[in-house]
Amino acid sequence: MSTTAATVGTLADEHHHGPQAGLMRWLFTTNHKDIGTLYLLFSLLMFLVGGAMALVVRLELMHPGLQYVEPQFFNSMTTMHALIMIFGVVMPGAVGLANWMIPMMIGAPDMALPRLNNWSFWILPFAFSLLLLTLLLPGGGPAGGWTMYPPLMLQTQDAFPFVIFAVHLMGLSSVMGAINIIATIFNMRAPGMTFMKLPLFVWTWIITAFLLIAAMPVLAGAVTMLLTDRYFGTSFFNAAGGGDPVLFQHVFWFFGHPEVYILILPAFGIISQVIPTFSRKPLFGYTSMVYATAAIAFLSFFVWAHHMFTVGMPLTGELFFMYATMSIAVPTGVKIFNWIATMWRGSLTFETPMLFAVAFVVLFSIGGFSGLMLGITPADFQYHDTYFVVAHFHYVLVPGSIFALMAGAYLWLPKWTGHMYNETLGKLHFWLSFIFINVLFFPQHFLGLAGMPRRIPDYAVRFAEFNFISSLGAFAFGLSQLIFVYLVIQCVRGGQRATDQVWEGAEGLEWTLPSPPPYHSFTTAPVVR
Amino acid sequence: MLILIGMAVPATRVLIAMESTGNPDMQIKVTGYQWKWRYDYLDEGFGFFSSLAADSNEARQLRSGISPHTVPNYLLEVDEPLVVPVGKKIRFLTTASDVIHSWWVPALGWKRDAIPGFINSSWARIDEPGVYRGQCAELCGRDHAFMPIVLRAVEEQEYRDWVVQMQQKQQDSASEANQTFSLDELMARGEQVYTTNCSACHQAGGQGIPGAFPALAGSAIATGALQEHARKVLYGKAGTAMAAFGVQLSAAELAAVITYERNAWGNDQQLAEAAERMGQPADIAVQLAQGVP
Amino acid sequence: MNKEKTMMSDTPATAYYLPEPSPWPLLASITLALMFVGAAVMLNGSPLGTFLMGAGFALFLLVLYGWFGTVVRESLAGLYNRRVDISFRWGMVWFIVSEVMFFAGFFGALFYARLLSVPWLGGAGTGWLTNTVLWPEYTAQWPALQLPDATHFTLAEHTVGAWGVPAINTIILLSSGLTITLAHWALKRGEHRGLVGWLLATWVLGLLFVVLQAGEYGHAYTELNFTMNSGIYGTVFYMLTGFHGLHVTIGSIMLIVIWLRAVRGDFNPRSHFAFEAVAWYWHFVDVVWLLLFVLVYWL
Repeated sequence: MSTTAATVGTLADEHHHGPQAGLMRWLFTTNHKDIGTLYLLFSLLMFLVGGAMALVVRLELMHPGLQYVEPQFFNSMTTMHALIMIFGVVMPGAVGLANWMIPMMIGAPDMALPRLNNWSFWILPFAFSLLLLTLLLPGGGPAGGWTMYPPLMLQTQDAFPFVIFAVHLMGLSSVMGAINIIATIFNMRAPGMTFMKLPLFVWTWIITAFLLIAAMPVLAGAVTMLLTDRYFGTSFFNAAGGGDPVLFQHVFWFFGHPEVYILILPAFGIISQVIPTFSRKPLFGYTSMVYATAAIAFLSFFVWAHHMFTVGMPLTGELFFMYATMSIAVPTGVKIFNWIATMWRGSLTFETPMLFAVAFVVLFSIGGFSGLMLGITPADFQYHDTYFVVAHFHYVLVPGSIFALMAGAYLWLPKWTGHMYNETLGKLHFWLSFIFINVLFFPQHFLGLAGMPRRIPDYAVRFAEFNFISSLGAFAFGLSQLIFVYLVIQCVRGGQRATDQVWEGAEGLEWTLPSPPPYHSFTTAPVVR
Repeated sequence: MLILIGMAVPATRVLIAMESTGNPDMQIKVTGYQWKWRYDYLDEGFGFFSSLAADSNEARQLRSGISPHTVPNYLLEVDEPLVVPVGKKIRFLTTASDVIHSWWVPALGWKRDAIPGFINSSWARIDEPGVYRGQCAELCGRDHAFMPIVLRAVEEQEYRDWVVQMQQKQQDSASEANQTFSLDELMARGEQVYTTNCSACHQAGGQGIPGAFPALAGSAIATGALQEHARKVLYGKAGTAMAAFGVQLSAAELAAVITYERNAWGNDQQLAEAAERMGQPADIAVQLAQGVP
Repeated sequence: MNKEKTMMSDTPATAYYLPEPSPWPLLASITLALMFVGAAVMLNGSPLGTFLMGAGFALFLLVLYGWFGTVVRESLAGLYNRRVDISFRWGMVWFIVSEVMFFAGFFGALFYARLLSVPWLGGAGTGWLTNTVLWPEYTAQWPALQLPDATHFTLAEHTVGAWGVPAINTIILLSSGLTITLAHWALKRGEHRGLVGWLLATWVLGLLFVVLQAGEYGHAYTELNFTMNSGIYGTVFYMLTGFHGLHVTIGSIMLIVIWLRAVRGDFNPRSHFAFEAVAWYWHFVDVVWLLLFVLVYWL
C-alpha cells in the first residue's frame, strides 16, 4: 500500500450536515460512522451476553457431577452462546469496522446505500431479542446446538419458530450489509484508487461480502426446510418419506464452511493492516495475499462435508473432501508466511494492536494445524465431536477472529475518538487475554484426545483436572475483557489528543483525515497517486 | 505441499481399510435411542437395551449430593454391556430410532453416526480381551451425556456361554407376558423401570419439568382411562422426546411401569375409575397386537 | 431502489447524494419483526399470532410504500447522479444473486433426494444394508410416490404431468419475457404507448401464470391426493414451485407498480433504472421456471 492523498476534504465544507441531536441520531442515522459505531457497540454488548453464557457452561463443567444447571438448560446455553458469538459478535463486529473504515480507506463520502445500511443494522437488535427471549418460553431456549441438526432440532418446544425466524432476520441483515459493501467498494473509490491499491482490509471485505451473498441465503433455505418439516408436513429430513436427516447437514455446511471464512477473512484483513503499520514496512507479497484470500474463499465452497465425515458418506466422497480440505492449507500458509516476512527486519514496536496481531499469527496457526489434523478423514473419525474440535475452532475464533477485532479496535480507536487509549491498560488487557485464552483452550485439546465428547454437561472423573484448569482460564479471560470495556469508555470520554496519522508507520487515506474524522469522510474526493 | 502429499497418502490407505466392511464374521445392529443403546445380534436372534448404570444415574442428578469420585466408572458404566468375542471381524450396523446419535468407543479408533432411517456400517476386530468404554458423541438432547457404551471383549467360549444365557433370558421375559402379577409386584418392578426409562424427563417425583416435560403426578393421562394412558406409553408422542416404549420394553415391564405411574405420587387417590388402577402384561400384549391406533 | 432522472455525465463524488436521516429503516425493522413474531406465535397455535402477523405484514408494506415513495421523489427531483444509479444497479444485481442462492439450496435438496437418499433407501450403493435391514419392502423410483413408511404421509396417486398446464405456463412465462423486452425497446425509443401496452401485457401474463398455477395446485390437492405431505417428491415439488410462485407474485406486484409509474411518465429513454431492475427480476423468475420445468416436472 503506497497511497497518499493529494487533496483532502475540508473539515467544515459548504453542504455539510452534521449529526442530529439526541436519540434520533442513532435511530434514523444514514451515516456510515454512526452505523459503524452502532454495530460495534452491539457487538460488544453481545460479546458480554454470549460470554456470560459461556461462563455458565464452564461453571457447570468445573467439576464432575451436575451442580448448577439442568442438562437441557446447559444445552441451550451452548447453543445460544454459539449463535450469539457467531452472528451477534464476530459478524457485526467485522461489519462495524467495515462501515467505519471502508469509506475512509477508499476515499468515499459514505457507504453507497446509506438507508439500506441502517436497515441492515436495525434488524439485528430485533433478531437477537427474538432469540434471547426464547429463554423465557415454555420449554426454554433452543438446545439442539447452533448447527440445528434435525431430528433433534425438531423437538424444540415453543422456541422453535422464533429461532428459525431470528436466523432469517440475521441472514437478511447480513445479505443487505454485504450488498452495500460491494456497491461501495466497486462504485465509490476515489479517482486513482485502483483495485490493486486497495488496503487489504478492503480486499478481504470484498471477498467476504461475496461469500455472504452466496452462503447466507442457503442457510435461510436450510432453516426454512426445518420449519416446513415441523409445521407443514414436508419430509426433507425424514427417511420414512424418502428424505434424509443428513441432507440438512449438507445444506447447512454448504453455508457453514464459507461462514467460517466469513468470520476469519475480515480478521486476516485487519491483521494485514496492523502488522505493516507496526513493522514500518509495506506488506510483504500484497498481490499473493489478495490471490490467497480469493483462493481460500473459492475453495471454501468445496470442503463443506469435512464437518460430517462420520455420517457415513461413500468412500469417494470422504476422499474428495479430505483432499480439498488439505489443499486449503496452501493459501493459508502463504498468508502466515507473508505476515512473518513483513515483520522480518522491520523496525518493530509492540503497541497493543501489534501485540494482538502477533498473538493472532501464532495462535491462529495452532488452530490451523489442529484443523489440518481434523481434515484427515480417518483421524477425524476419532477426533470428531470431541473437545479437540472445541479447542480447534475456539483457537481460530477467539485468538483468531476476536483478537483481530481487538487489534482493529485498538488500531483505530484513536482515529475514531480523537483520543489515544490508555496504553498501559491496553497491554494489561492483552497479556491477561493472551495468557488465559491458552489456559482456557489449550487443555481442551488434551480432553478431546483423552476421549471427552463435546456438548456434555457432565463427564467421567478422569477428565476432571483439565476441565478445572480450563474453567479457571475461562473466568480469568472473561473478567479480563471488562478492562477493555472500561478502556473504551475512558477513551471515548477523553485522553491525550491523537494526531491525524496516529501511528508512525500508518499509511493510507484514512490516516490523512483528522482524528476524529469529519461526519462525512471525504466530501471532496482525494486523488490517489 | 510435499508434506501435505506425505500426509494424504497414508491417510488414503487407512481410510480405504477402514471402509472395507465386507466379509464379517458376525453382525451387530446398534440402535441409538434417547438416551440408551440397543444391540441386536443379527445372527443369534436376540437383542437388549443398554442404559446408564443405576449408581451413576443416581449420582448424576442435579445436586444429588453424591460425589462422582465415589462412583466406580462414573458415567462410563451400563446395566447390560455389549459382549463380543475376540479375534472376529465384527460388522457394526449403526442406526437410530429418534434423533441422530453417534456410537463411539475410542479404543476402536472410530465413531459412526447413528442416523434414523439409515444404516451405517463399520467394522472392528478386537484382539485383546477386556472392557472398552465409550460414549454417545453426537448431541442427542437432554441426556446426551448419559448414554455410555461398555463393550466387553471375551474369549470365544465365554462368548458362546453368554449368548446361550441371553437367549434364555429373552424366552423368560416372553413367557412373563402370560403371567398375572399382584399390585405390589407390579409397583416394585414398575419403580425400577420408571427410574431407568422415564425419570430423566418426568422426574423421580413425577413432577416433570414445567414447559419441557409434562408432570405425571396428578396428570389427566395417568389418572384417566387405562387404555388411553397405555396408548401414550406404547406409541409415544410424535415430534417430542416421548418415545414409543411399546417397542422398547417387554409387556411385563410396560404393565409394571403403567401401574406404577397410576399409583405413585398419590395418583391412586385421583383415579377416574378405581377398577383401572393396574394393568397386566396380557392386556398390554392385546393392545400392542391391535397396532397403531 | 429506483432512480430516474440523472444529472448527466461524470459528476464528481462530491455530488453523490447522501440522504438525510430517515425513519424508514427502523420502521421497516420493527414491522418486519412484528410480522415474524406474529408468525411464530401463530405456529405455536395462538390465533393472536395470525393477527399480529397480518398487522406486521400490512404495516411493513406501508413502510415499503413510504420508503420507495421517498426514493422516487428524490429521483424525480434530480438528486441522483450516475454514481448513485450505479450503486442501485450493483445492489439489485447482487440481491438477485442472493435469491439465486436461496433457490440453489432447494435445488440441492432435489438433487440429493433424487440421486442419493431415495436410491439409498431403495438399496443402491452404500444403501444396501439400509434397504435390507430397515426397509426391505421398499423399491426406489422417481418421482417417489411409494414411501419407505407411509404411516404419517398422504400417498399420492399421480404427480402433476409436465405436458399439461406446466407446459402452457412455460409458454406464458417465456412470452412475458419477450413482452417485457418489447416494452424496454419501446421505452428506449421513447414510445410511451408501446411501453405501457407491453408492460401491461407482461403483467397480465404473470397474473395468468399465477392463476393457472393455483388451479393446478387445487387439482393436485383435491383430485390427485398429491400434497406437501406426500413424501420427498411432494416436498421438493411444492417448496420449489411454491417459492417460485411467490416470486412471480412479488414480480407481478413490482410490474404493476412500474406500470403505474410508466403511465405517469416517470421514465425517459436514458434513465429508467426502476424499469430495468424489475425486468432483471422478471428474467430471473423466468430462468428459475425453466429449470423447474425441466428438472421437477419433465425429467
